[in-house]
Amino acid sequence: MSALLEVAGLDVHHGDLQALHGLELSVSAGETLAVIGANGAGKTTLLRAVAGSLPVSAGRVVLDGEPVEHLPAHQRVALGIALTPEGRRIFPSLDVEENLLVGAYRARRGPWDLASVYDLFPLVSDRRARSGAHLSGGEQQAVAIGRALMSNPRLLLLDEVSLGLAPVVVGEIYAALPRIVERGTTVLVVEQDLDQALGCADRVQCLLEGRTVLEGPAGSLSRDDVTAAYFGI
Amino acid sequence: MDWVGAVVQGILLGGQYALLACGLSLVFGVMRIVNLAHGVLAVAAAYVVLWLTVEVSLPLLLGVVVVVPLFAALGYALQRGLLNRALRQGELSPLLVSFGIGVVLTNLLQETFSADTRSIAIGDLGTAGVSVGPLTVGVFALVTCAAGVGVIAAVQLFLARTRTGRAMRATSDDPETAQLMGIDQRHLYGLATAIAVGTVALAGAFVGMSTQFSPTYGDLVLIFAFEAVIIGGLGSLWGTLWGGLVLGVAQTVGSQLDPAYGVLAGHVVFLLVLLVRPSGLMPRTVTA
Amino acid sequence: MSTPVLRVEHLAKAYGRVVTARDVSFDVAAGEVLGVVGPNGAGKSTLLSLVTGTTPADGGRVRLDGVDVTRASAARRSALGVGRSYQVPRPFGQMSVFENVLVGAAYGGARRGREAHRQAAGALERCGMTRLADTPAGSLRLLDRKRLELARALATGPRLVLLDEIAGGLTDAELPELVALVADLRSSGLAVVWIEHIVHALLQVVDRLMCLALGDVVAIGDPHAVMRDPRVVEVYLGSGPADEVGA
Repeated sequence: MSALLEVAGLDVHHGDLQALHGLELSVSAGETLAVIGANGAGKTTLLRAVAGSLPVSAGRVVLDGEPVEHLPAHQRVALGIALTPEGRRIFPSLDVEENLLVGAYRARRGPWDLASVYDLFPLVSDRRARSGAHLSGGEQQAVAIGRALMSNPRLLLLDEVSLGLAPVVVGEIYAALPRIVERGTTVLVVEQDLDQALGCADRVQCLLEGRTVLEGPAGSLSRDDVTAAYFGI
Repeated sequence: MDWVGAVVQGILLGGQYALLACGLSLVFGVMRIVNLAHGVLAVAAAYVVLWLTVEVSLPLLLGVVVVVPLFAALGYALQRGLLNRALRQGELSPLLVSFGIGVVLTNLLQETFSADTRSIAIGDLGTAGVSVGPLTVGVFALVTCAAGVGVIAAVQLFLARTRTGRAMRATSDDPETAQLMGIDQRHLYGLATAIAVGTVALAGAFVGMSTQFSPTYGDLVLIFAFEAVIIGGLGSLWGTLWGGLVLGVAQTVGSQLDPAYGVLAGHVVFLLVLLVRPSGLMPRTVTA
Repeated sequence: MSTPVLRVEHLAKAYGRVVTARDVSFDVAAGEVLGVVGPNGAGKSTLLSLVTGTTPADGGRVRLDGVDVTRASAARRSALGVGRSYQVPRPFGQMSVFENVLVGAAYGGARRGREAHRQAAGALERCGMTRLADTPAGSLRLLDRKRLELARALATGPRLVLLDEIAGGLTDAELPELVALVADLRSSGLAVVWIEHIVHALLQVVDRLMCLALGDVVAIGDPHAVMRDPRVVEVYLGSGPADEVGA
């Protein structure tokens, strides 16, 4: 059976820095994959290349059998790819509800709408009239995930969910993940926090300098294996 | 004419300036482009209305109704064909391209319509007046002002309430993230310029009915529109309305002092605002 | 034992509520390479700025060869022997490699004329760049731009060189060349502080390793021992101390 997302031989450059070297990755429908790695390993680059924010130099990005690497980001949304970007990037001059509505600009059919997102994140519901410029880090992250869900993606890309957030907020946001998955969304999450990654994912893939150095089912990896792969030592 | 009359005339004139400036303000707010062809486009629309009414013998109202969507389509084409390309080359490029469009269009108008001054005949409407207390106010000036306020309110409502308007504000905030929402910014920029050029075509038609114009009259239109935008605050539509009113009142009150000083008084107020409040009277609300 | 080239004592720096250095102390001897690692926001780049003097410290001391330079300007510290490379190499692209290095020698080191030329030529040679001296800097490949960056730092005639994430983006074949270059700097008697997130590159050359997290020194000492230290693993991989960002 074919995967929902298949990345093959992916090269991405930032100027003359090569950030990804022939990367291979695949995510089956309904699966949650966590990509981990140190700073500069290429995790964010990978997500941006899959979403279409970054051009690829070589290789393929295939969504459910359809090559998408040549499509601009906005067309990939229509096919079912949504990214919550690094730094959340909430639109500051729109209020929370407007941010969510913009997320539905090119929505596919599916379970997610304002009501179901508010139900998933009561925190966001309480802040619906607040300006996007005046949100805490945790509120921003919840709005960013809700905004991505509004397009009813088949594949949800989450970048650095826990970065800069207090542990209790991170816990709340990760608590919502199973409810997203059970409604049929496949999740690819980039996470620095190993315990969170191992806790939420079916499978973990560790990158080092743009290459995969370790991958396996979340339950099968020891902390020592991951540590060695993470630092390349 | 007394001072109160001058102020009232100024407010009515300001409505026209606001109408002229609306598109300039919108395009700047959404794309950070200063469209230097804005004034010439207004004059071009006046010529098209003139041609439609004189040569094709369309009724004036129908001429105006035709010219607005025609120019909106032209705006969309200019954005998709030229300005979007220029935007990829950096900040200066769209400015230069719009300057080029303005020069070409001015020369095209001169070739086609000669450099003679013309005006669009509006018959009795030009002289009709209504009494408001002790004052008599021109009906045409009232209609123009109402159109200005109405257009600005409509565009503001569009930005605030519609799906496409929200997408424009999101794109203005962060184009890259907006694309991740499925927004095609090239199309959206095309729509913004379509609205801008459509509204300036309407403004141009009113200018053509209220005054004598020639192909180079666009320079003056651009300056007035630009001053209204700056006085009100870049990127703010309600600010642009206020900017237009302030400019209009400054000009009529200046003329009241001495007929030769009207336009100069407007420029002086513009400079004073730049000095005292460089961000304008109502900065950045178009996207707020 | 001889005086260390760099001694940092109880250095502190905070931007509002964000602490980027808290009681940081360490020293580096001549002929020693100290590696610095730590996750994003650990305070690594701030530490470099505190040592070069581009950022003033809130507290603590910086000594060069025993001399207290805590209040000295960046220019003064450069003249006293502090050289640094930047994370993103920004050579003057139109100028030749030699001219780029000469700018470092003439301004950074406050030398003039023939001496500046000699210094620049020497720096190029140490970095293996002599054959590229006349090449426009803008056309260099990445490894050579990093070498140029090093040569510019060396052209000021430093006693201490600070390297900021110079290994990023290099291929597996290029990395050993860079590591060898750093080893050369050490054997010429320089003190080197190398901030790097490519840990396996560091481990090939550093004498000691320091791990920072949120402005604190988590561990310092034998490189392999530091990387195995559970506290170090925790700051990278665990749900360690997090700071709530935003209002």
